Amino acid sequence: MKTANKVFLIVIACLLILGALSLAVGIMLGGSVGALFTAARDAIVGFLDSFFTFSL
Amino acid sequence: MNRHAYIAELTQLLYYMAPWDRDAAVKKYTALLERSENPEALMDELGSPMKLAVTLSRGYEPSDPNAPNPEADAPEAAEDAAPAPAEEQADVPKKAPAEPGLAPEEAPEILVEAEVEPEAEVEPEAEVGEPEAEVGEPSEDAPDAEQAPAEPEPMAEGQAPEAEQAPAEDSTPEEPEAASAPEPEAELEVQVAEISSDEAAGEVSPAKESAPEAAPPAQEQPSAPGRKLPAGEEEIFSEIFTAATQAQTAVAVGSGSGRPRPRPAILVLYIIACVVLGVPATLILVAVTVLIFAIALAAMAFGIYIFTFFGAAGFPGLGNLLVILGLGILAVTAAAGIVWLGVWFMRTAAVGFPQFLVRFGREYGYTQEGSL
Repeated sequence: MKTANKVFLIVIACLLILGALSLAVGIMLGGSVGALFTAARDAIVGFLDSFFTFSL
Repeated sequence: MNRHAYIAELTQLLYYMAPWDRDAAVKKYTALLERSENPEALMDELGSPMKLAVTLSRGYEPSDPNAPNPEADAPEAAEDAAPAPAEEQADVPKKAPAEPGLAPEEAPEILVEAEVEPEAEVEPEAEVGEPEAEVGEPSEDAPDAEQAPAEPEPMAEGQAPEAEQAPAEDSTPEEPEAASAPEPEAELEVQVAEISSDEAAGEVSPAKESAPEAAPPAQEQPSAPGRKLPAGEEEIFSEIFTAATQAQTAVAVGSGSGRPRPRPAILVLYIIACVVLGVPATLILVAVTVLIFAIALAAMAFGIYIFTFFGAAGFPGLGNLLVILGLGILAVTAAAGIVWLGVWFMRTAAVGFPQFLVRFGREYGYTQEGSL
C-alpha cells in the first residue's frame, strides 16, 4: 500500500474517533441528536415547500 | 557463487537472445564450467554473469532459426571443411604450437583472447574452435577422432587424457580447427570476437578489412577479461535492454514468426460474448460506481448542512454543540472514505474489468507460437 493511502486512512480513522468522541460527550452533556435531526428535516421540508410553491 | 548459480544467472540475463541462441550459449558455458577442473577460476576469468551477458549482447545478431543443425551436420561439415581456405590454413600455425599443450584451465584465456582480438573473420573461428576441441566436447570431437585416427578420443570427462594427447597433435593441428569451424558455439564466439574487433577498431570497417590496422590496438588491451564496463548498474541494465530490444526487433522483423497469429473462431465467439455479457456487466459496474459517488456526495452535503446548525438558537448548551460537531465530522469523514472506496472500485472493477476482458482476449485469442 502506498504511503499516501496509509496517511489517508490514518487521518480518516482519527477523524472518525474524534467525531464519535464529540458525539458521545455531547450526548452525555445533554445534547439531543433527535432534536437536531428533527430541526434539519424541518429546515429541508421548509426549503422545498418554499421552492415548489414559488410563484411570481 | 557456484557454477549452477552462475549459469542460472547467466541464463536469465541472456533473455534478449533468441531462444536457440540462448540455448547454445548456455550449453557452451555449462560445458566449459563442467569440464573445468577449477570452475571458480574459470568464472573469475569470465567475469560476473552480468558482465558476460553484456559482452555477448554487444552487437548480438540473432541467427536463423531455420538453419540446419550444425551439430547434426558436424561430420559432414568436418569433411567439407578439411580443405580449408589458404588464409585460414596460414593463420592456424600461429596459434597451434601454444594451444595443444594448454590445460583446461587456460581455456578462458583463449576465450578472452578471441573476444579482444580484432582479427580477420576466419581467424576467430579457428581460434575459438580449438579450446573446445581440447576440452573435449563429445559432439565436437567426433569428427576429430575420424580425422586423427591415432588418438582414440575419450568421449566423456576426458580432460586429462586430452591434455596429454594434445602435444601429440602438433603435427596435425589444422584438422580439429577445421572440423570445429561450423559449430554454433564457435559462431557465437566469433560474434563476440567480431563485436570486440568492431569496438577496438572504432567500428570503422569490417573485421576482415581492418585486420592489419586493428591488430595493434588489440595488443594494447589487457589479456584479462576485460573491456571496461560501465560503472553503474543502471548503465549496464540500459545496455542490456537496448541490445535486447534491437535483437527482438530484428527477430520479429526478420522471421515474422514472433507476431502472434489470431484464432478467428475463438476471437469472434469471444467478441460476441463480450458484447452480450461484458458490456452489460461493465455498465452495471459503472452504475455501482456512480451510486457510490452519489452516496459520498450526499454524506458530504449532510455533514456540511449539519454544521450550519452550529450555534443556532434552537440548540443551546455545550452538549448540543458537541453533538453537532460530532455528527458533522462523522458525516464528512464518511463521505471522504466513501469517495476513496469509489475510486478504488472504479479502478478495480469499472475500468479493470474491461481491461481484463481485453487482456484475456489477447492472451487466448492469439497463438503465441514463435513469439519471444
